[in-house]
Amino acid sequence: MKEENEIEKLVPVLKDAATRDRAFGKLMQLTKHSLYWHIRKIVLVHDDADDVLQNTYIKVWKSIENFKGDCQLFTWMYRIATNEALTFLAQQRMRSVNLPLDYEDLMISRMEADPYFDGDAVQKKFQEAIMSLPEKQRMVFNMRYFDEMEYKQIAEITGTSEGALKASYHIAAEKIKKFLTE
Amino acid sequence: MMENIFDDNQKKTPFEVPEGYFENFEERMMARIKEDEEQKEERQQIVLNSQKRRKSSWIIGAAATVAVIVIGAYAFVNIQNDITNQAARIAEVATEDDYYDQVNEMLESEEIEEALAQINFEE
Repeated sequence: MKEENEIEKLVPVLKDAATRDRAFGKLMQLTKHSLYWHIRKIVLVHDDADDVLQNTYIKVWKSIENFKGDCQLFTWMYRIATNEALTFLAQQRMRSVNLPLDYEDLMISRMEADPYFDGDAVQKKFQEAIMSLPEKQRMVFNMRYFDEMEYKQIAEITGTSEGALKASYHIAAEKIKKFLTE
Repeated sequence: MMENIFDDNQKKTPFEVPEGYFENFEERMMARIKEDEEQKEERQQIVLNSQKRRKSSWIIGAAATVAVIVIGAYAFVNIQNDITNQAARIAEVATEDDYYDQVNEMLESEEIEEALAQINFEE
C-alpha cells in the first residue's frame, strides 16, 4: 500500500517533461519486480518476459503524458503489461500454427528448456495445470493465487466485475485440482 | 503432495531470473528509451527532409512550368506579330504591284512616255 502511494505521488512529476526522466527511473525502481513477475507468470520464459517488460515500459513512457488518472497509475501499468503479455502470446501462437505440437505443449517445453526454470516435478505439473486454463482465466488465477491481489484490483486491471472474477477463480481452481489428481 | 499444492507454503513459483537482472535495470531501460527516441527523431527528420525536397522540387517544377508558359506566350505573340506584319507588308506590296500593273494595262507606251514628258515638263 505504501508502495502504491509512492507510485501515485509520481504522477505530476512524470507529466512534467523537465522532471520526467528522474521520476521514470523511480517508477521503474518501484514497479519492476511486480510487473516482471506478473508478465513472467503469463509468458513463462525469462527472455520473453524481459522483452515484454521492456515493451511495457516503452509504452508507459510514450503514453504517460496522456494518463488521465481515472485509475491508479500502478493499475494502469499492470493493464498495459497484461495487454503486452497477451499480445505476445497471441503472436507466438500465430507463429506456432504450422508446428506439429499443441500450443500449450510448446509453452511447457519452452518453459522446461528455459535455464531460469527451476521447478521440481510437482511444480512442473502445477504449471502444466495452470497452462491448461484459458489465457484470461490463467491470468486471473495467477494474480489471485500467487500475487494475492484483491478482487477489486484485479477487476480494475481486467475490466471484469468482481463477481465474475470470483467465479472465474473458483472454476480455475477446480480445474487445476482435477488436472492434478487425474 | 499434489493435494497440498494450494497451501500457502507451496506458493512458490519455479521461476528464476539471471543474476543481477534487476540491478541497473532502470539505467539499461532509460538508455533503450533514449535510443528509441533518437531513432524516432532521425526517422522524423528523414520524413521532414523528404517533404522539404518534395516541396522544393514542386516549387521548381511550378516555376519551370510558369517560365515555359511565359516564354511560350511571349514567343507566340512575337511570331503572331511578325506574321501579321509580314502579311500586311505582302498585302501592301501586292497592292503596289497591282496598281502599277493596272496603270500599265490602262496606258499604252506612248501615253506613258507622254505622261513622263509632262511630268518632266511640270518639273
